[in-house]
Amino acid sequence: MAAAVAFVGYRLSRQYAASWLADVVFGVSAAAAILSAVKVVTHSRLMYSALYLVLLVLATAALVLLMGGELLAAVLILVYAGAIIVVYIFVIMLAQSTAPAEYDRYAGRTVVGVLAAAVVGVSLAALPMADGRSAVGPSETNLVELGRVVLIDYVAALELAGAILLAAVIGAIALAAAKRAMGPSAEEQP
Amino acid sequence: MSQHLLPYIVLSGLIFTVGLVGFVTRRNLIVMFLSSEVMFQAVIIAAVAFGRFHGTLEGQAFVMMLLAVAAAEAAVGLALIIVVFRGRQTLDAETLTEMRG
Repeated sequence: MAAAVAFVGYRLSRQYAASWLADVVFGVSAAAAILSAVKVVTHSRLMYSALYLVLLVLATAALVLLMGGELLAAVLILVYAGAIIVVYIFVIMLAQSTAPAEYDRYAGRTVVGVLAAAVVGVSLAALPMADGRSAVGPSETNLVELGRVVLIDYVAALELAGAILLAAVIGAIALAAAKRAMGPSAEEQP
Repeated sequence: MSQHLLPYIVLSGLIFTVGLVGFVTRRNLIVMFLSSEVMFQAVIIAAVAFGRFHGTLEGQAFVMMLLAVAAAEAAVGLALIIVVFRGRQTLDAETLTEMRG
């Protein structure tokens, strides 16, 4: 919700070049970031902690967007909220010994959910109308410069990061496939 | 306010502190890893802010590498958590005492 407000505000602040609107976006994103960070740390249920971390990543992406990192904001949402958090959620589901399934049997807070969705829907519908131009506008992003920096200036570091990621994923597969390498029952294995 | 460097750095410091407190105080292994992810977010904000207010793109390029390292850390850490949980059916970090001297 806060992230949606932040993104809509960012869009409007870019359109009308209003700095006070950028301040509003910063305030909303910063408040959402701090609140969700506190919730990640203090919530007693693992799944809720992971979902608040998604909100924190969205707030971070809004802040990065505010600082002009369009590609980086998209990558944050895709890679962090889309891939890394999903791995966390898988592990939380695998490792939950006693599943407290009393929540999520029926839809809670239906009115609030529908209202929030309505706000997002109306914003999505209203933005192209307020723009008045076609959806594909002139490119104002720093994609080309960022690509030059990442793929030419720091290509060795990029390759190294890829190698680290490959080694880590192979190591993770090897670790997870090892049968009871740790724990009290390790000596029972042949 | 959003045109200055200081609010971003203060926010980053606050988020990092929250993550650090969580990492130190919680005993659940997965929550500890989630707290380290909170600290990663703080570092991302700080890196992008410093890069932007120096007028270069190195901060964003650095965050690209940081994302790869964060993904690697999550993969290895979660695989370790799976192995530990398979061995002893708990996620309590206090029970991992075999290597205590």
